[in-house]
Amino acid sequence: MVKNRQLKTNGGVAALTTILMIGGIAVEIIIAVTATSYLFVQSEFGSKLSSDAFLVASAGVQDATMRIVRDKSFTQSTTTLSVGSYSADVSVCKDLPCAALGKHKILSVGKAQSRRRQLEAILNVDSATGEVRLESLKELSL
Amino acid sequence: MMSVASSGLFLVLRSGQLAQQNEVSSNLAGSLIDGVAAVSQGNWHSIYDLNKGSSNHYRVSTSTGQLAIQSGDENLTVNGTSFTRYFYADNVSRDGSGNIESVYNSLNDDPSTQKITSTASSQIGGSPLIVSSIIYITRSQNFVFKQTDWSGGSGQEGPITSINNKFASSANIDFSNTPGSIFPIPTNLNYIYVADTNNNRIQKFDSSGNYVSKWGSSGSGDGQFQHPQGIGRDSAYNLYVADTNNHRIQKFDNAGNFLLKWGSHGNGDGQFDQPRDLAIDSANNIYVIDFLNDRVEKFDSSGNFLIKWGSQGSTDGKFKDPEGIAVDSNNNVYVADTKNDRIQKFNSSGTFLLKWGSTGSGNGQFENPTGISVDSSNNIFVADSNNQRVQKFDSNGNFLSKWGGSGNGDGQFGSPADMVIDSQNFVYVVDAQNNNVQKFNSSGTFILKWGSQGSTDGKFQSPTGIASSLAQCTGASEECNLVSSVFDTGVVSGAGLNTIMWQGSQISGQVIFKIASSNNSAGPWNYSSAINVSGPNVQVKIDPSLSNKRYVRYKLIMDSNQSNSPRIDDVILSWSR
Repeated sequence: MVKNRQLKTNGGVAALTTILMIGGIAVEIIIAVTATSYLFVQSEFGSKLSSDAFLVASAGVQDATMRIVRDKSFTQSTTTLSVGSYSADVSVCKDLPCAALGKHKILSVGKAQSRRRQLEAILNVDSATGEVRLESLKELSL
Repeated sequence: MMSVASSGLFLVLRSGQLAQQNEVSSNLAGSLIDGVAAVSQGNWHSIYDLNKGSSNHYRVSTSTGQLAIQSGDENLTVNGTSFTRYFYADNVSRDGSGNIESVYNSLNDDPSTQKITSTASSQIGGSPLIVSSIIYITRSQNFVFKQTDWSGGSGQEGPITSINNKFASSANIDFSNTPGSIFPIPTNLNYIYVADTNNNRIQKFDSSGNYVSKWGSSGSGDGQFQHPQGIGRDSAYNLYVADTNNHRIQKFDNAGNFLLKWGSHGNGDGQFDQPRDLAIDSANNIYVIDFLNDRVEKFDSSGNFLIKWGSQGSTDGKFKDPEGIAVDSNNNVYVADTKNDRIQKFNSSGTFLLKWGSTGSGNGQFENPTGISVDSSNNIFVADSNNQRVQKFDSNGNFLSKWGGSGNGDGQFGSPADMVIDSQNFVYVVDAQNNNVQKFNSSGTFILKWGSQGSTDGKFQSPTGIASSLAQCTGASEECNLVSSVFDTGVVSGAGLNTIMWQGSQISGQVIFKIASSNNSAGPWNYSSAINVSGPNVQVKIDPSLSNKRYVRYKLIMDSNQSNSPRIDDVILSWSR
């Protein structure tokens, strides 16, 4: 009877160990899948946010350009432009030392949650007529 | 185990699908915005003219081989999944500093900025997945009309697409002595305006009696008259006409353009029964002789009734068919109380101060005094109509001098109706019977006369009112002005007008612009309010309401203090396609 009881006890321990092992593996699989899925989804939403940050930065450049068209002397220190639920920090400077003589530089940092994209526009501004021409537009790393 | 495995597999697959659809949606929304921006660069009105708001969905189509905006959603299939995308546009306003306002205010609308919202959506597991992106786009593709020379002279109305050295018209502007520059020519001329009563018009002359212009015809429309008898000028060079048989006052600018009117037939406040004459005080309040109501009514310069005084009678403060009125430099009011053969003096509130005169032909007596005027020393001149003479008094009614006599020779009168005294104290007397105007010095010495009976330019039919205006190249008088040719932007649906600027020098005086735009090269040209540009090389924003017209022109007004005038070398008008 004792021997039989020992056999039964050993069998139970082995089964429990197996169950715990399998359960642990299952939990690890779930965690791994969840984490993978989360990161996967996050990276794709991050891509969307990054795209929005770029658009918001573009809006900042557009707005600043229009303001320079209306005032060839226009400059501003960093100012926030709200674009929907996101925003752009836009600064405008002109001539030396920030830009070459007769040129304006627009720096626009678009922000969409944690994502940021920065655009730099260089404008040629005719000092006599105020006529504005876009010389270059490029993205700068942050 | 199976459950865990299937759940894990489902989660992986679902998250993968979600991420993929999200990325596709984001790309679709972003590329739609790129398309909208590209279309706006080609033709701003393709976007600006759309119906606004989230309920108006549009898509960018390439079905015609070019990017074009069409109404409605766009359905696409990407990797076997159906997507719907669209955009909508919203107007944008800017505050006084040019900042985009977070809440749109139609009063501050910026016709060169639009807010674009792009949306792409799909279904995942029966639930919608919606991705939106927002951007501002602007009409920043700019150009300039730059005029650097006007020496080609006037007469070019346009429209023109490239600027040359000509313009439409000018007055008192030197555009030829220094090619490439223009200057004002202060003339210091007095102009005389005559209410040509039975011709139902106003005629304008220089101080030598040379005909300049006219306006008005018989009728009751704006700018028409029925027997106009009185005329006066305010400090802003606007003219007011007592339109007697229309029982109203009409206000014009000094070129005769109608501005406003007020009054109707009756005896209530602000009504008239044959307004015969008017006078204007230093605050530009208007005092009107209401002939058949035997009273004076006072209005502000917009025609709002202020006060009235007087009724029929011959005691102090009452009138019997009064016909003339004048105001001195202290805003005291003098009334020619015609049928009582006297002059009454009041303060600006209508309080009686003094009176003088009685019936007769002696010094200080009158027979139907109809016109009255005040010189710069507050001497009072009275057109003593039936005595065919002018009498001069001090401001207390003491007789000083007289001149005239019955006849139609130089210095004689048939029926002197009214008079005006110009800035140099010359006296101009309008004679309703002789149909002429005679000019005298302040002592009554005859200088010249002009006019005869008729209805052609420079002739009169029973003229009864007269006023003067000094041409000094002031901004208000616009006596020194140049009107550009009509510039054609070539933008059929209308250009954005950005700024106006001039280059040159400005020791003193000022330069004022007025802008007019139209979709018709022949106008009409309704000029904006004055844009006072504080100096050379200063850009001033053009009122956004003038944008979205194809044709544009400017009127520049040069203000001079006589000794040092501004010099304009360039005029630059910035616009956007």
